[in-house]
Amino acid sequence: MREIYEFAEFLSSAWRLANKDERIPTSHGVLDQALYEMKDKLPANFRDLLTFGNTRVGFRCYELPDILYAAQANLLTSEPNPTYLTTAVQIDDTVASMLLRRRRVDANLATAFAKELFERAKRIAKQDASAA
Amino acid sequence: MQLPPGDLLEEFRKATGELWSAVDRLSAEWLAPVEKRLADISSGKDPTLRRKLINDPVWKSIELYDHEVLLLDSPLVQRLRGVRQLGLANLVFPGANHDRFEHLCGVVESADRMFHALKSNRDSRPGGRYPLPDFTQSDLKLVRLAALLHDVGHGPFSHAIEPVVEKRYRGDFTAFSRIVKEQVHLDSKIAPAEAISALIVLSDAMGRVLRSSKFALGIDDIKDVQWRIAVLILGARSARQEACFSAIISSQIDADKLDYMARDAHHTGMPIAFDTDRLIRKLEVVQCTPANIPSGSSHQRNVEFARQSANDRYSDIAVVSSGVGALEQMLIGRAFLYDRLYHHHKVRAADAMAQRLIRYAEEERGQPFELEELYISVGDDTMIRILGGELKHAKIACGGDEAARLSEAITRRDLYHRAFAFRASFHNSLEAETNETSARAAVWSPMSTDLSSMTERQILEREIFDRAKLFARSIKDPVARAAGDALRPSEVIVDLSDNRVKPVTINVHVGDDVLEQPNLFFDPSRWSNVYDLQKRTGYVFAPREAVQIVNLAAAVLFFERWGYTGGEKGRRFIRGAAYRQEWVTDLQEAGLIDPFLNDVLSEKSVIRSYLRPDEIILPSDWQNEDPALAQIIANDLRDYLPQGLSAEDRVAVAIGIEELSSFVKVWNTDSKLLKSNPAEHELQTELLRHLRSRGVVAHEGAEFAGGETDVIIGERCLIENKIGAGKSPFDSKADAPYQANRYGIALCQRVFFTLVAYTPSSEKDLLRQTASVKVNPLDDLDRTAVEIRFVVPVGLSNPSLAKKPKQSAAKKDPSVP
Repeated sequence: MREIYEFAEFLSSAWRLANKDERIPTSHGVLDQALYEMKDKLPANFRDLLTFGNTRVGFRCYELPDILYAAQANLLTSEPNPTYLTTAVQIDDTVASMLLRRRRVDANLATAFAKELFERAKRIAKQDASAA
Repeated sequence: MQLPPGDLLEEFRKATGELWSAVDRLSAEWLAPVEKRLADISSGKDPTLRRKLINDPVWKSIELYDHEVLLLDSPLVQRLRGVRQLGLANLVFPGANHDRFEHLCGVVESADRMFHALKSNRDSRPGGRYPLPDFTQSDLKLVRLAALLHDVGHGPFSHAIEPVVEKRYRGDFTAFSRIVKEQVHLDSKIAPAEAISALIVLSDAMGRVLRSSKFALGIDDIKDVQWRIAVLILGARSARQEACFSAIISSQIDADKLDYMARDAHHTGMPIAFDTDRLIRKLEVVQCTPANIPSGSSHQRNVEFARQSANDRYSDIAVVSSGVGALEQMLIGRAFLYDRLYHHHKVRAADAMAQRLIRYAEEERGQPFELEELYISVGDDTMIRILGGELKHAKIACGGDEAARLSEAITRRDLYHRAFAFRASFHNSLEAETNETSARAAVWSPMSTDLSSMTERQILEREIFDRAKLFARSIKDPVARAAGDALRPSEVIVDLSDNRVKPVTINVHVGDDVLEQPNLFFDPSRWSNVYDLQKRTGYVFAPREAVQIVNLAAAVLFFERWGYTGGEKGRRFIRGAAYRQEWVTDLQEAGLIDPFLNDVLSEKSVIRSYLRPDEIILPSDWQNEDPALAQIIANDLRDYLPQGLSAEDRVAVAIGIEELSSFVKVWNTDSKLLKSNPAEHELQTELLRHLRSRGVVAHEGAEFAGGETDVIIGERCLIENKIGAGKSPFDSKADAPYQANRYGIALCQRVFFTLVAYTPSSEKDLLRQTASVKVNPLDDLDRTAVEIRFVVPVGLSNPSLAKKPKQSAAKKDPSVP
């Protein structure tokens, strides 16, 4: 359970430093796929945490619902927006940096990771939209 | 890949090794009498099997079919008598003695009524665009069996035992969950008890029972029957059967919830009314297609599931518009049940004590419990006595001092009391923060994360215990001394609930196959989720006599570890358990707390946290050269800023010190920089380059208070750059801090950084790196503020000087001439 909360801190903090006020996608399997593509670039302590699989509703990260809940429970993200498609990161750069330092995660690596994660999420969402 | 049921069961057997074997052995034992009775029935020896009608406080009467009676009368279900539905809540709500056995019967009736209501509403509606499920007798039998078996995986104390079982078989549970999610659509996490229920259904013994003609389920492949029932229990959606039947057993509004909410409210005497009958009658089966699935948290998954289902659609349960009132009533009632019953502090204390009882019993016997030991078919009360060593059982060995004490305390209802309460909204001193939510998260998130781990909670429990003992010895009040002397390690419990209210996302059928979300007036689901998170409260529990000394120890440790101060709100929550103020004075006199902590505990300061030496990160060679430097900086900050720092400022200052000290170190080892004579903007460019190379977010030229700041790290850490002149770099440019202070007021900052480049007039004026930082009070300003100044040398004709910094006299080895 602790790893889930730590990953929620990592994801929210890295996202804030890299993508500022951009919202995190929480639906449509977008983040699931983006995390899968980026799993080898995760900090070492998170590399074995996430598991993925092809399910009857498409490709999924099995831990992601708990991670998104943990981020909300820790006040890092807002409750999802009315359509439940995205969530806003509520912490500022300073707190984001602090949380990463506390978990001994390199801020450079985290920022680069979240920047690329967002780019991939945008690409996946665009592909899904054009496929639909 | 979708596996046929036979292969799937083999996959589970292989992947969940130890857990599968343990469940298989237990199932064989519990179902042996059923197999024998079935044999007797077939041979004509037992003519007594018939339906049963049971009286029930919630449903008035419950009818069970004869094949269900076979299971009901088996050890598999009978062992759930005495396993209370609400764990040890009966110690708080004396009426809450209802057990899992009673609940199982209720869920059968609830599922039956839902099934018939859905069937009846389908028959009475005009035909829609798509054909609706048939609701056959075989479907009904499967649904009722799933209802009867959905909780057979529970052990004693209901949910309190789950972490112990999960820890013992973690790998097997993970494998089980992975396979299930590969085969069927399931959004939620599978609880250990649910997984064990499903594994019991999938066991060989259950296969032999279900094969009997008495069950006549209308499906030849018994492994398919087993898998279908397991899928219903897990609330998963499979292409093998109508999804609406899974929704009856486990979904947002299912037979389980409709029974336990009404039953729990009834037995606890909670005046919460559920209009269960109306809600059930207002349920309809609907066909969901990619075109009519409303937006929501599971929208895309539902659309995907529809696309992968036959004819691009699946059946689900919806509530009709005229049932939304009953739905809202249920959701609000549920939120209050969580708040007033499931999360009641005394219920949490009792459950936590049960968890610790299992833990200490396990520790004291020196080996983990196996499933067959914990599932020995005894009720909660008996299990408490077995774990405490008071009663002996052939299948489980227990008996140690701490377990015995806990067992006795639970049995006597000597429940622990709230010694300390913590909640995100209790944390005070945030009113002045520019971003209150962020500042609150800075304190709450690390706490919540750390305490989500049972191991961390146990470590903290021990630390609180040790600190309470230490404090008690230095407090003059004999009450505190006696409490400290009597306190034992098992008597301090840290608890933070993760038992969340799951959102309800059932659709409203407004007619003509049009589905909407049930937010006609407000969204009760989101409301209840937010309500629950807002009220998520953690506790430190202790015996009544020890609450005050444990409160003091916890207050100090929560402040030291996370900078958390609960203040008046937290104290109000623990009713008289707060420490006495004179004890704090005693601790300061004994040297156990410093004046600042005294202020914190006395709530004299408005802003209470301060930077600790271990939060000050300096280059490692600086630490080697001057191990006291971090302590000196921390002490200076504390002395010059008696009010302390806000949580956010503390972080900002720590970052500023780390980054500027790193900059000074790099500068001092770069001969090009040492030789240079930079202008202010060049110094600034160099600083920005350094910060950005380290991944630090830094801005320049932001406008504040009518001027342009030099550099801001993040959003709070202000750095002014100056090219110095004069003898001492710490005296030069005396106006710099005042300039910084002007911006600082706008930024609500009390600490500013100044980076000064200076030219030493001679070799002896070149400072050691560890002497390149100084904290200066600015007490002639109209408010308390502090400058932290870092200096770097420039214009050196002989940069090699930097490689051999002058050693101070104090550091010189006296043995070297």
